[in-house]
Amino acid sequence: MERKSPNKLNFEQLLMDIAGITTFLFRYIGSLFRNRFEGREFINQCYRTGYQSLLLVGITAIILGLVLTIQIRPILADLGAEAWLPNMVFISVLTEMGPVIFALLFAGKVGSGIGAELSSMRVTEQIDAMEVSATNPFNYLVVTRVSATTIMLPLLVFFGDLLAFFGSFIGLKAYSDISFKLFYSRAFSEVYFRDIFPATIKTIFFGFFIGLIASYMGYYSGKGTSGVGKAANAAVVASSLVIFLIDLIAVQLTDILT
Amino acid sequence: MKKKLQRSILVGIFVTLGLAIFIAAIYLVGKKENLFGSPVRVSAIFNDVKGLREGNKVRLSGIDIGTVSSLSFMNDNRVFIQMNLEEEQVLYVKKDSKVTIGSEGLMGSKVVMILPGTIDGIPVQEYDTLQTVEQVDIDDILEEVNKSSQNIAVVSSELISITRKINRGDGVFGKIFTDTTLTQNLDDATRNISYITENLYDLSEKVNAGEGIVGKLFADTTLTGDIGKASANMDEITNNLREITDKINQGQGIFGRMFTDTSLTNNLYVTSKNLQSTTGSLMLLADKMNNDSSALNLLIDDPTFADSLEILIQRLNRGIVEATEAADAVQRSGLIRAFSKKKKEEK
Repeated sequence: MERKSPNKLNFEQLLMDIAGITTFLFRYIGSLFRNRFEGREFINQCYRTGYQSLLLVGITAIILGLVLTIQIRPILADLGAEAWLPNMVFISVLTEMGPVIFALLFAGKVGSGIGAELSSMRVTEQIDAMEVSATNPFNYLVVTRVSATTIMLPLLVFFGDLLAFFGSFIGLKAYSDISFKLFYSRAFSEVYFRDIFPATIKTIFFGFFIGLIASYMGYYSGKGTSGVGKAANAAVVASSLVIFLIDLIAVQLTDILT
Repeated sequence: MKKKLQRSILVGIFVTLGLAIFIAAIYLVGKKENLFGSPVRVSAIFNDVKGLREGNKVRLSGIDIGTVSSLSFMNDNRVFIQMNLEEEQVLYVKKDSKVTIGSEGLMGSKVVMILPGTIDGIPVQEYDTLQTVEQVDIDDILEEVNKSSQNIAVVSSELISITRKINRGDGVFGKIFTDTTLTQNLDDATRNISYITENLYDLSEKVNAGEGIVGKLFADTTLTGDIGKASANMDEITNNLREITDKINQGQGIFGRMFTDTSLTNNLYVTSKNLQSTTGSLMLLADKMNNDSSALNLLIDDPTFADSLEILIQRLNRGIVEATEAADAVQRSGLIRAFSKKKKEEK
């Protein structure tokens, strides 16, 4: 199967992609439980998608915490509510900004990588060769990558949240003589399970769909070298869009449930 | 192979650390929400919880000692809230503690505040229900402020009308500000007051100099001596009066007996009774005397009887005179003188 016009976002293509990704999803679930799990490849993908993204996410997280604190501090200081700063920054990072920004970064780095890699394998007919040699390419290439992104993104978000917390502390410490204990106490003063669990579940879905969409775009990319770039590009664009869609649904559900 | 092993180790470390962060976050939030201890559950019933939510803090004297675990409606539309209190802090929550709902600053979330009970009170126990104090709502305050502002508007409009009347010169205050004769009168009055004060000054000078009666009162030492003596006499009089009253109180003398002796009062009572009966008898007698048929009435009222009596008395007087003369004549007779001489000798 090949995507008809991967570089165009027309309605027909959109519906076809939705159908294709849904099929891809069920195929993934079926393959996950039916076929042998490629553990070695899964670890390899975890390393590439998770560990190798840590530096990018970490730097971004520190800057995110720092920037948010520096930006919000004067407004809250004017209101006389500077004491709320740690709490406000930490909750916004923990519930919304962290998961979404880190997922977008992850989609940019890992999604495009998966799309381009699988697409190049498709172009160079390596996937076809695997099929011929009785190796299940879907199980080896797609299941491992989707599983790895599903597990690695939440872990990256945990790291990112922690580093953003430190970044916020550094940002506030530069302006006021606040102790770490007081900062920690204020940051956690209004954090509840209802903030942590929906955010964590959301990031699991983000990771899953980034892996699934990127794999789909690469797995069914067009022929030729241009197909590789287009697949990488489509993987990032579609993943980013889906991240916001999932975020919207998650906010609605969280609001209903809490 | 070595590279793959290295990757596996790095992934392992990465996953472990990531999970450790997650577990730490769970632990910290759980500790804050008091999930890992064995909390003491106490409850309270409110008419209005003002937006309180599950997980909100419970504070005692400003220290967080627990969380709100559940909120539910009761049959009478009141709200039943259950709180999980930290076991080690429960000792400080007494059975007579009261619960109210406050907020963490103007923009903060709601908190349940426990107002401390008596120091030596009994600590709360599991499933106890604490008494509640309903706080004044900000809406009620705003409503009061609204009423006050309306009243202020009315007062200010009335003040405007008053000041207009004053400006026009209506009424007493208007005259104060507009009438020039009033100011002239006030001017005269102040001049008079000045004159009076000058006179008073002169008077005080004279008093200081000891002139006149008042001056002597202040300056003459003999007068003060006389006053002193008079006061000493007064003192003596009061002492004597005190002694007299003491004696009366002790029952000494007639007055003392009058006030203290009950037998005297009894006697007086009997005497008054007797006097009453005597006066009754006298009244009867007087009635009888008034009666025409009685002899006494004749004596008192009848003039003919009085005339007859007078004639009788005159006749008696004349008779007596005649008898006396007769007796003298007899004494002067020789026979009688001889007889009387013999009698004297016998004695």
